[in-house]
Amino acid sequence: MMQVRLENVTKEFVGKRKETVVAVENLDVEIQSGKLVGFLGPSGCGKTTTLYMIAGIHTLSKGNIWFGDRQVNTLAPEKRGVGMVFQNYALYPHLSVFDNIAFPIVNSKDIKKQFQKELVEYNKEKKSNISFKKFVEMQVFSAADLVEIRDYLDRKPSELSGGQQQRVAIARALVKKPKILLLDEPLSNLDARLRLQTRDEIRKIQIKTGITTIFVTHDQEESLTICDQIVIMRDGILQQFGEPQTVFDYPVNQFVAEFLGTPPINIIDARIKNNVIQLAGEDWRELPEPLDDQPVRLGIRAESLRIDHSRKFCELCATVIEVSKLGGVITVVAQLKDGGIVKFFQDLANPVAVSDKVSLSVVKNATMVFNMEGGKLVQW
Amino acid sequence: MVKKRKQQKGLAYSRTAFLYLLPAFVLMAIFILYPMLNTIIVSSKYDYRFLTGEFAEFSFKHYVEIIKDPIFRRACLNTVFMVFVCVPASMLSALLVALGLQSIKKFRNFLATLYYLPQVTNVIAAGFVFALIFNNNFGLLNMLLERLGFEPVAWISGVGISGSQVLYNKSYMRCLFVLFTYSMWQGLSLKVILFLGGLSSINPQYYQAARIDGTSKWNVFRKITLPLLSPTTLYVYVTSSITAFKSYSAVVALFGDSYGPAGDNTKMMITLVGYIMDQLGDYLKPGAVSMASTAAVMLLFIIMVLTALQLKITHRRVHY
Amino acid sequence: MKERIFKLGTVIFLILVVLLVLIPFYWMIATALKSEAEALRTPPTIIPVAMQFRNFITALELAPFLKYFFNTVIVSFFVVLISTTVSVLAAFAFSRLEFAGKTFLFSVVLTTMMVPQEMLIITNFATIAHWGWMNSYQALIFPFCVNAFHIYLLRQNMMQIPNELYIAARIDGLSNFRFLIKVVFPQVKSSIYTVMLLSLIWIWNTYAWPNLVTTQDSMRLVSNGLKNVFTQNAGVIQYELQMASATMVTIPLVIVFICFRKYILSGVVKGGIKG
Repeated sequence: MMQVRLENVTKEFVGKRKETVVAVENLDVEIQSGKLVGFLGPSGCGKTTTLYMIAGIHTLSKGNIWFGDRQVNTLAPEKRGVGMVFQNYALYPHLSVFDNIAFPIVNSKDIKKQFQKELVEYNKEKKSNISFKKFVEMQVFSAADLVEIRDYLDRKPSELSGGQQQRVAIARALVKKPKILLLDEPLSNLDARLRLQTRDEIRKIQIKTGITTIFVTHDQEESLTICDQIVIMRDGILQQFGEPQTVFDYPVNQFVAEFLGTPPINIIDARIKNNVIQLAGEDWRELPEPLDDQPVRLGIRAESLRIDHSRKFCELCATVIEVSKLGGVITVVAQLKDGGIVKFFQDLANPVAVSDKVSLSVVKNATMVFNMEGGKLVQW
Repeated sequence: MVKKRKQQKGLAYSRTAFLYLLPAFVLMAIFILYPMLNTIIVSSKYDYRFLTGEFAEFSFKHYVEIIKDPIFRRACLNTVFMVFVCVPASMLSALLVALGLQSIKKFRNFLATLYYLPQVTNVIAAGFVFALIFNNNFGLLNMLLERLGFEPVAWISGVGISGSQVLYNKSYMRCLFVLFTYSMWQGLSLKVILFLGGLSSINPQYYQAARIDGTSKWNVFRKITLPLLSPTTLYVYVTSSITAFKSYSAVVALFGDSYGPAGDNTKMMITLVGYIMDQLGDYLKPGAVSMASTAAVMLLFIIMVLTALQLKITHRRVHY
Repeated sequence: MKERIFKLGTVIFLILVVLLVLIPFYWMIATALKSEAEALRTPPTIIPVAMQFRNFITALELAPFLKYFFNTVIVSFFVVLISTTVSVLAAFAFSRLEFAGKTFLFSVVLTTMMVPQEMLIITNFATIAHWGWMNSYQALIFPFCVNAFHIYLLRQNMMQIPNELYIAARIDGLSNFRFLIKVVFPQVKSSIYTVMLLSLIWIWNTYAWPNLVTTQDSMRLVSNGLKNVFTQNAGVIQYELQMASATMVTIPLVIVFICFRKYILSGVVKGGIKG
């Protein structure tokens, strides 16, 4: 089992016009042994670059990477003992599925030695006399069983579907029993249903084998569902690192708040005056702690808005302008007095219709206040 | 603990890459790069003596000598014939054949294979066969001519040429015809395959669009096929011309080491490369090797100039 | 209707041309099978009256053709082996590896493609003579062991392997060299066969260089051996033997070609399309 530590890692590239492009800046993250961690962010945020640095495909410009207590900065990829699954599977087209999976064990000097040693131990323990070839076969079978691709071992990659190829790629990555498993957007090329199925399978395998896994994706739903922890990146800089639910409920800034969640979080223009939040010119709520007068943006998730039926006074007043149904989810779009738009979910017990006037209240701890730069001021 | 990092290198950076290149570059250095330079240098060493490496002086006298040599001029003439007559002729025929092949699907591969046969035939063997076919007495061609009621022609014959210029020219024309036939036979083969490949690479959608527009076959050829084929055509033209400049073995096989029919002492059919090889054959003679080098440099020069001209002239006509 | 006539005309045209191409082959074999008397008949017969297969044996006695064959096979074997290895290694470095001076070195390779052999032949002859390699196998082998066109062809083909596969292989624990052997080589096999065949055809048919460096009959190759036996202007030529020899020299390569035409033709075209 292996812990991965990224210590102030920076990666710079030289651009086409000789300018310096900073892809990753001062990334400092510790991934504990046996965890499934997702690296998340928009295109170009540096997540794939980070993954490649962990794999050894890119060198670091600054900082260190530790596998356990071993510094691996300059270690060549073939010596790092990581398994990697690529977006485009990268299977060897001239080999059968069996040979593809067996490839690392058979063709890498170091890994071959490792397994030969293991075989000796195995034979001693079981008092058996299995040949190396048979032993390799056993490894391939067990990896194939793990991903349920056992029936296809004789085929060539071109004869398999995308989902099947992906599973072969996973088997190949796992067969050498790596301490670290890296996945580079492995689900992007699969169709929607297959994506759900495969991601659950990945999680199951990861739990079963207990391998420290790092998973790069731009799909936030994926990471929220299966990851133990997530790392959100933007423009090469770490935004937040934590458990999915925590990051979701308590985003550290507006970017993270907007990145996670479907539909995206409601962002409402507001103002702080005399420690009170003003919406559309009217006082709304009092701040829990004193803050300077300034224009702000409120972040409130759709699921955090409730229709206030007490109607004592209109806390957050809005007029319904649209009710849309998507699958089994009904979203209500309402407009505030100053034109701002909010979305929330239909309460099936008390549905509202277009042009209804509603008063909305916010669930506890779900109101986020961001300054104009996107930093979070307070949440309550 | 932290090592000082130099300019970062990609994953594929290899300090041992030069080992992969070493064999190739060693061979290239010895057998290509060094000879290139050496030939140019030797060409300027007048009266170079092969065994000792001594020479009279650095001068370009050889260049002048060569230009004055009637045999060299003969060689130029013949080579020009090959390049500017034989090549275009075989290109045109090859294009026609390729177009024909492209339009039929059934026997295309079979016929293409047959067309290519001359390319894998030993040049000397082929030359011998052609010499025999054109043989005055036992030749196939004369036999056919007679059967058809024509007079047999003394294709390769040196009778009376030393006395009469008229007879000499006649004999020369006939020998040129023999050479022409051979080079057509030989040249067609490679060009057909290249043109076929070029034609196959044209996106059929162009033809489909033309069909929908009701374009006539001739216009399709002129406005679609030819322009889209132009890169291939250029490639064929340039490479065939360069190969034609280097003709040698064929001529030797057809006409023998004296480059002409019996009775000819002007080396009637000699080519530029033949000239070089002849000079080289006498390599112990003072100045022979430097003459040969000079001729080689001139050959290179001619090739380069003419190729550049070809490229310049066709530049606007070629569409990529 | 017009289409049909057009097509028919095309087919007839093509067949006519093919026949013209094949006539020399026929004539060669037909003459080879004629008796000495029949070969000298004026006008010559089209079909030999009686097949004289003996001519082939006689031709073999005339000159050491078997030795020529043997030499050619030996030289071909080594040239194919060495030049293919040299080309594959160089092509791999140019297609996949990063190193200082890569662009410059590759442009050197491209430049040599344009240099005519005839310019090199003189100095190479001198080199061979000074090394005492006249009439030796080395002289016939080494100059042909590096071919810029082959390097170019192989490089183009190798570049088509996706980079992700290279990364995957490195992660799987392979060094660059093992990547070449285990992943690149199997995938560019057809180009490698093409290159090997082109080398073979070249050795079998080349005349100028072997003629220059071999003066002993025992070291001649098939092409200059054949030429040497039947010099055109020297006395009376026994045409049936000449043709029998020519046939023996031509047949092996024709057989090779027919068997492997797929690789040869595709290689020629690939070189042509890229221009």
